[in-house]
Amino acid sequence: MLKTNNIKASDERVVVSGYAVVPPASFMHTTEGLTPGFGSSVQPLTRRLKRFTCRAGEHAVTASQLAFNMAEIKPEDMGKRCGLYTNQAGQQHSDIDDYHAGFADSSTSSDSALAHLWSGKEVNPFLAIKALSNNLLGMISVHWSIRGDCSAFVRDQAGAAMALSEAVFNLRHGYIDVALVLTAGTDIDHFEIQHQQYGGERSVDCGAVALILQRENTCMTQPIAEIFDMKNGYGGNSKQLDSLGEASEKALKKYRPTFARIIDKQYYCNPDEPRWGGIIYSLSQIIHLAKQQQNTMPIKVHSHDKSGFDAQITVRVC
Amino acid sequence: MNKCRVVITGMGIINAFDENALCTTKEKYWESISAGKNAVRAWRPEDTDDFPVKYAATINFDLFKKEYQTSLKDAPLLERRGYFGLVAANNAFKDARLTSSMHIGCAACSGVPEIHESEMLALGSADNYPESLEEHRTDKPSEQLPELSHSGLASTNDRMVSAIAESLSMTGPVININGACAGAAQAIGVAYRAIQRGEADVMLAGGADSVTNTRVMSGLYLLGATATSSPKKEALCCPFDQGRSGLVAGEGGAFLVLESEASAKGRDALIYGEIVGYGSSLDAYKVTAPHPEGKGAEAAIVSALKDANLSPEKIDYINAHGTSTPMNDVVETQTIKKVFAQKNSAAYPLISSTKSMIGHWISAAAAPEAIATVMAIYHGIVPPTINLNIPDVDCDLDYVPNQAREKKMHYAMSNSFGFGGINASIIIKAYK
Repeated sequence: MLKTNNIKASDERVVVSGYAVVPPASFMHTTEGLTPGFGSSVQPLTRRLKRFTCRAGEHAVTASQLAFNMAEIKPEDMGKRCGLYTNQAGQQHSDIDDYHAGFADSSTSSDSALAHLWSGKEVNPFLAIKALSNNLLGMISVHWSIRGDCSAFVRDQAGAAMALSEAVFNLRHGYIDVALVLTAGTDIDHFEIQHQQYGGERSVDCGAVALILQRENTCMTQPIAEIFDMKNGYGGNSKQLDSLGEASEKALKKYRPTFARIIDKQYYCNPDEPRWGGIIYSLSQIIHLAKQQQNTMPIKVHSHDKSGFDAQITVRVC
Repeated sequence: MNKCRVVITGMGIINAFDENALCTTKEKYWESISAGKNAVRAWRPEDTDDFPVKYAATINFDLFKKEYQTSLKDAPLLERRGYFGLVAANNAFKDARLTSSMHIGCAACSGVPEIHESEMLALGSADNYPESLEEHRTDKPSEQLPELSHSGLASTNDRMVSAIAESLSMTGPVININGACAGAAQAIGVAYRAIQRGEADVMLAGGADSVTNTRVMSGLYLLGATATSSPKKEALCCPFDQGRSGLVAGEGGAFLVLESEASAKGRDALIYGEIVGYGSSLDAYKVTAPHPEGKGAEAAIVSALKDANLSPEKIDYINAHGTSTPMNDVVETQTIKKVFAQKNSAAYPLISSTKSMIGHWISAAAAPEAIATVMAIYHGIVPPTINLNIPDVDCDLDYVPNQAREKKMHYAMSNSFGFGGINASIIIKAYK
């Protein structure tokens, strides 16, 4: 039996005070999904940060900017009272551009291709930094001067659920006053990215979702939604969460790829796309849909991924 | 919420002590650590002879494969680091005498994936790139993966934690965390919190890493973080010493079993210690270097003390991050002096860097250090900082140079600071 954490209505209430989605370019063909962030142009990063940031860095900065704006929070004023919880996907190797130029550098005499990495003068010296899966966390903390509690998780559902879970726990315990929960990345693996880059494609289909969470008693704006219980588990070894039911599963499969739906009076997100978004993406979509419909009933959000990671959260729009 | 007490009931470790006989038990590990043994030895990558980094604390992988051939025969394709982690986690599970019917989760850290020569060659040659890279795609059915070849699947950063979860039939939270050199400390911290909030009764927490490959070591070298050849040879890793010149890599896997006190007592488990505090913070300064005044490190230490509801003078011993890099060791010393401010240096907690013996396990570094800290409290012995002969003038605390010291301890702290400006501190208490 899966245990739940202690996020209950009777305890300190944790609310969503801002959210934004900066979707991958491939999502933009649709007319659906009016979540804040859709259609926003991605903000360029400073040159200094761009040298060692992951691919979805610009999307993440833009999404977090929009979410902070909605919550009317200046993160640089929060310092240690702002926590940062990230989920990064699809960034494990550096871009071809970082070291490909090194192969053309004739100054090295070694026969080993790998030797070019350290002896080639054209190689980006931040290779290791760019390949870290906490790159997003580091870059965002520098960009917004966030100094509080932090965790960087990998990836898809497992990472997204834990980022959300840690944020809620730390808010409830008063370790922080504001949490930025961020998921960003791409569903394309690094080999596919490199393949594309060799084909001349330089932009990778990345996206980002940002949520701003606060305790209700410290929230200066009208809360958007309240978070209730969360469940999070590894379903690879047992069926953990409430079943969607065959009819709903079937209906859900019809709706691809990206947006929340109401099926049999329940709200569902497509669990597979985008994988990098996990439950953070699903939650933003559900909140947006329920808000538009002025539905203030508690809503259960299911999300799971192919690797067997499951998450479930109950939310109520205020 | 009433936070439950979280105790340590098992430990498992694979490490580089003794090149000719695998060191696979916590007892052997502690014997070497408390004796001040050195696991650093000459090293050269397979791919090249003229690599500038020439020393590391490496495990004899042939011996490892031979020893665990049977138990790993059904394991999924993993990188070197993943196999170390899988074995260490299983050893911790056995040490705690757990059963798979229990509600168990796992929190593990991971670092930077390897990349092999064949892949680099593919990248280096635009002509044959698409075809040769095709071999490494992650979306190929598993039966098509070449058995011994590196692949994208083996190198995904959450592969090890999934393999551990599958091997131990876990049903609790399975968490993959990335915190660079603070990764394992964060994994332990997150697992501690998961038990406190009731998500699991038992969590395996720790990590495994291996950067002894040209790709990752090149990245660290390009950043100027590694110690290169020096007359110091095997004594190259010398935290707080005047002659230190950078980190010396180590490798291995280490996991602790964290358990709610109620669960441990309920099954009459042997309790080695208790985790009472965890704090983490961000420098928000530079992605590549720590804050020069140690502001982020200070915030993590203070946050852990606050979480444990302890005043600084209660800490008897600090297992330092102590990387042997010129900057870290001075900044860490300054930070400790600031937080633990005392009128005379004898009143400060004892400090040591066990990295001096096992090298820097990078993302997993905090896991063997947490085990050393638990064992130090359990046995009442502070492990030494070896290779410390002429202390840096700015490193003026008691780092327990070269020889272990007996001391009854109640509370000890383990510090970890990583790239990206991530800091984490854990406080361990003698269990009563």
